[in-house]
Amino acid sequence: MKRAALLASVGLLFGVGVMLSRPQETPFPHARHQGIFPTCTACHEGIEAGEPEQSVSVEPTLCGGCHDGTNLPAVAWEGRAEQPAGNLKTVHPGHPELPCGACHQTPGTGGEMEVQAAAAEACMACHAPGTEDHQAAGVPCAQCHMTLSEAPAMTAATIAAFSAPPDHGSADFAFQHGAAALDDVARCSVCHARESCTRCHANAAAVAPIMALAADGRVAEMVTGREGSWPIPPSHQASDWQMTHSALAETSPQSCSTCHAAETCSACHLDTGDRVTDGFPEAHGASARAVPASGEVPGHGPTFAVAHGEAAVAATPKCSACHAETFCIDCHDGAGRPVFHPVNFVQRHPAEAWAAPMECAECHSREVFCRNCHESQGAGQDERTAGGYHDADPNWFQSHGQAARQNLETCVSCHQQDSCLRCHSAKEGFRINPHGPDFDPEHVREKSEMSCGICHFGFQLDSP
Amino acid sequence: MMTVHRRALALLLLAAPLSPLSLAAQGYQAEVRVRGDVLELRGLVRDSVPESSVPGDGLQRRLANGTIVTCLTDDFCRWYRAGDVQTVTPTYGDIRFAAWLGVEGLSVHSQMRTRFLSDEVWPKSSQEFDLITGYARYERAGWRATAGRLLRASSLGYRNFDGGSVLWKGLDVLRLEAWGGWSLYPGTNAPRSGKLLSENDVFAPDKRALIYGFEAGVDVQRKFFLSGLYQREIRTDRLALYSERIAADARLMLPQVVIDGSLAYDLAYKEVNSARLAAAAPLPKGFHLTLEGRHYTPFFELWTIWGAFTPVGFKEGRGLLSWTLPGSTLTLEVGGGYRDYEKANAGAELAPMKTDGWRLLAGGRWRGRDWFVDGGYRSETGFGAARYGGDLTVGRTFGPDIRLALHGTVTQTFGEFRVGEQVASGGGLDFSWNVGTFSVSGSGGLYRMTYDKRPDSPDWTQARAHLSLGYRFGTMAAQPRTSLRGIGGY
Repeated sequence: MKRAALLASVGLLFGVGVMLSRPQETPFPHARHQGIFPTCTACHEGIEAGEPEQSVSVEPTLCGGCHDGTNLPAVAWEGRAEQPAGNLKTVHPGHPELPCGACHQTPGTGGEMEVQAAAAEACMACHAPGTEDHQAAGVPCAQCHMTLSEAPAMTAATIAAFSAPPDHGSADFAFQHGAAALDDVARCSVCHARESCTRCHANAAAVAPIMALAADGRVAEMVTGREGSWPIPPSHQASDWQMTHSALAETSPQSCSTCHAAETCSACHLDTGDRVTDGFPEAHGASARAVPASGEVPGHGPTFAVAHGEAAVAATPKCSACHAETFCIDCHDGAGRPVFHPVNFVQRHPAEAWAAPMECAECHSREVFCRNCHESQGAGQDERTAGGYHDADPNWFQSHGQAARQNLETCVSCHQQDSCLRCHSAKEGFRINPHGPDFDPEHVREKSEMSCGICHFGFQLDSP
Repeated sequence: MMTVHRRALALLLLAAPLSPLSLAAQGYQAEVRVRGDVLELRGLVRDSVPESSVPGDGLQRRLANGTIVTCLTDDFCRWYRAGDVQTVTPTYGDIRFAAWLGVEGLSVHSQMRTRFLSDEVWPKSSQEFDLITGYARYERAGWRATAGRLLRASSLGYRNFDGGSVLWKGLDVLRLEAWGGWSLYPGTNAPRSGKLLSENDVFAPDKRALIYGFEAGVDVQRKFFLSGLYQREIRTDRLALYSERIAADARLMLPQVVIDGSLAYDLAYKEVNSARLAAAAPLPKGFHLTLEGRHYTPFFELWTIWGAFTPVGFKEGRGLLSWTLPGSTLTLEVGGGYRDYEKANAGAELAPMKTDGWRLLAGGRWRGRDWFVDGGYRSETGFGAARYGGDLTVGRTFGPDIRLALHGTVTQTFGEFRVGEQVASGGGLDFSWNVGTFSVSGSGGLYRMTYDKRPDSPDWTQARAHLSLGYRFGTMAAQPRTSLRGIGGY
C-alpha cells in the first residue's frame, strides 16, 4: 500500500514535471498566421529529413520578411530556445508518412494552424500497443525520449520527479534489473545516469552497463548523501548463510561485490589481510558505499566472548577466517585490555574471582599474576598465620577449611604453599590432614610421588 | 648481564620485520603497539599493637576507633590498614609479524612483548622480554606442520610450548593432531623452573616440563563436531608428572539451535575440572536465548599441594535472554545464574558459609548512526565476596574511524571475608582513532572509593589513564586493530 502511494505520488510529480519542462519561451502565434502559410514546410523547411534541432524551429529573421516595420509592424519574437527543456525527442525524420497535425494539432481544434508542441499522449496513440501505460515493459523509451545526457537543459527537479515504470516496483526488481540493463541499457539511460548505479553498486567500475551510462552532475547532486538500497537476497536469509557464504565469495566474488565492498568483509574478517577481500572493490565516497557489516558477528551469540571454547575447537565458525592468532593472545595473555572486563576491573574483581563465571586461570597464572599483585598490595605477606586479614569471621581459623575447599583458587592467589603447610604438613606443625574423603593417595603417588613428598617428606618450617 | 642480553634480543627481534630478508618476502604484515597505563592503587599495610594495650579478650577485638584486630600470636594484635596511594605505570611494547616466504604454504609468525617503565608492584614486571609465539608453519591442503614457540588453546586451557605439532586433515570428516615439546607455565610464557615462578612460590619446580598430546576430531558436514584429546606434562628428569588430563568438545549446529558441550578431566586427581552443556537459540520476534549448565572444580598441577587439599566444585545453571527490536540496533538482555557447591567436608564449621551463589544481570545497548548507548546492572552474590553495580556508556562515532565515549560506574563490593564494603563510583572518557594504518586509543577517569566499617581505610580518589599507539605495516597491512567497540580492561 505504501509502495503504491509512493508510486502514485511520484507519478503525479512526474506529470507536473513534464508540464513544467515544456518550452517556456513565447510560442510562435501559429493561429494568427492561419491561411498565410499553406504548408508547414514553407517555414519548417527540411524538417522531415533534416537534423531535428536545426529545422524544428524558425529563425526569427524570417519574420522580418513581412514584419519589416513598413508593411507590417516589426515583431520581437525571439524564436525557440536552443535546447528543449524536456526529454522528448523530435522524431520528424522517422515519421515522413504522418501529417503534421497527427502529433501537433491542438486537441479540440481543427484549423490548419491550430497547433502546439507535440505531447507524449500523441506518441502513445501509436507507441503503446496493448497498454495504456506508456512505461510498460516492452515499450522502447528511447524511441521517444532522449537520454539524460542528451537533455542537459532538464533540471534535477524534473529528473527527480520521473515516475518509476511499473516493473521497477516488483518485489524482485532489485535482483532482476541487472539482466534488464544488460539487454537494454538505453532504456535505463532515459532516467538514469552512472551515479544512479554507483550509489548501490560497489563494483560499478567493473560493470559494463553501468559504465555505458554517462556521468551526470544533476544525478550526482540528487544522490549525494543518500544511502544505497540493498534488499536482502533470498540466499542470505538461509539460516546457515553466515557459515556458508564463503563458498560463493571465493568462487564468485563479483556476485557479492554488487553490494559488498572489501570493507564489508573486513568488518568481520578482521585480521586476514587481503586473502578474504581478494576480488572485492574498495568502498569509496558517499555515493559508492557498500552494504555495511550488520554488526552481528556471524555465529557469535551474546555470550560468545566468554564461552567460545567449543566453537574454537570445532572451528565453526572458522576462527582463522576472521582472526589472526594475535586476536586470541590479546585476551588470553592477560596483558591486554579485554573488553569483557569492565572498566576498573582491579577494584571490582574479587566477586568474579570467588564466583568463577569464567576460569581466571585460563589467562592468568595464579602464582605469578594474581599472587604477585596481591603481595605487592600487601594482601599476601609472610607470616600469614598471624591473622588479621579475614576479619569478618571471628572464628576464621576454625572455619576457613570450607572456604578453601569451595574456592581454593582464591586462597592460592595470595597464599604460598608454605603458608598452609605450617598447619597441614604431615611432618611439622599441627599436622592437620588436608585430604578430603574422596582423595586417593595411591593414585596420586603413581602420578607424582614428589607431590606427596612436599608434605610427607621434605617440608621444613623455617620459622617458629 | 642476562638483562642486557634480553634487551639486545628484544631490539633485534623488534627490528626483524624491517630487515631486507623480510622485506623481500612474498608478503608480510606487522604491527607495533605501545601501550601504557597510569594507575593509582592503594594497597594494604599490616599493622599491630601489643595485645596488652587492646581491651577485651578473645581472638578478635576492637580498637578504640572501631578497627577490628586479631590477637592470635606473639602477644600482638594485628590488622590491615590502608597504605599510601601508589602510582604504577605498567607499559608494554608489542610487536607482531607474519611473513610468507615465497614458498607456497610456508610462513613465519611471531608475537613479542617487552615491558619497560614497569613498576615492581605490577605482575610480571621482572619479565622484560616475553616471546609469546614464534614459529614457522608449513601448510598444505591435507596437513600442517608447525615448529617453534607455539600457542595451543583447547578445553585444557591456553598453552604455549617450545616444540612442534603436526596436523593431518586429509579427510574432511577427520582431523588428527599431535604435539610435543618443552612446556611453559600457563600465563607466563616462561618455564616452570624459571625465576618468574620461583619468585612467587617457594616450592616452584626445579625442572622444566615436557609436554605431549594428541587430539582427534570428527566433523560431519560442519553441522556436528566432536573431538577428544589427551595431554601430559612431565618433568624433564621423568621423576613425576606435572599434569595428565583429557578433554572432549562437541558442537551440534541444528537449524535453530547450537548446542555446545565440553569436558576437562584430571587423570591424576580423578576429578572433572569442567563440564559444560549449553544451548543457544534464536527465538521469534527478535529474542535469543542461551541456557547453560556447568560443573567446575579448579585444576591444580601436581607440583603443588593444592590438589591434595581436595577442592570441591560447584554446579551452575545460567541463562541469558536477549531481545533485539526487529529492524533496529536496540538490544535488551536479562540473565542470571545459580550455583551450588558440593559439600566441603572440611571438619569444624563454626560459622557455616554460604554454599550457593546468585548472579543477576540486566542491560541494554543501542547504536544509532553515530550515537550509541550501552549500560547494565550486574550483581554477584556468593560466599567470600559480592558485588553489585552498574555501568553506563554514552558515546559517539565520527565516521568509521573515530570513537568517543563517556562512561560512568557505581559498584559496591564486599570482599574477601573482610568487614565492610567498598563503593567505587566515577567515570571517565575513552576514545579511539584510526588514521590510516595508525591507531591510537586512550582513556582516563576518576573513581571515588568510599569505605564503610573500616576506620583505617579513608576514602580516596583514584586516577587512571591509558594510552595505546599502534602502527601496522607490510605488504598486507589491513585496517588498524584499535577496536571501536570500547575499552574494558583492568
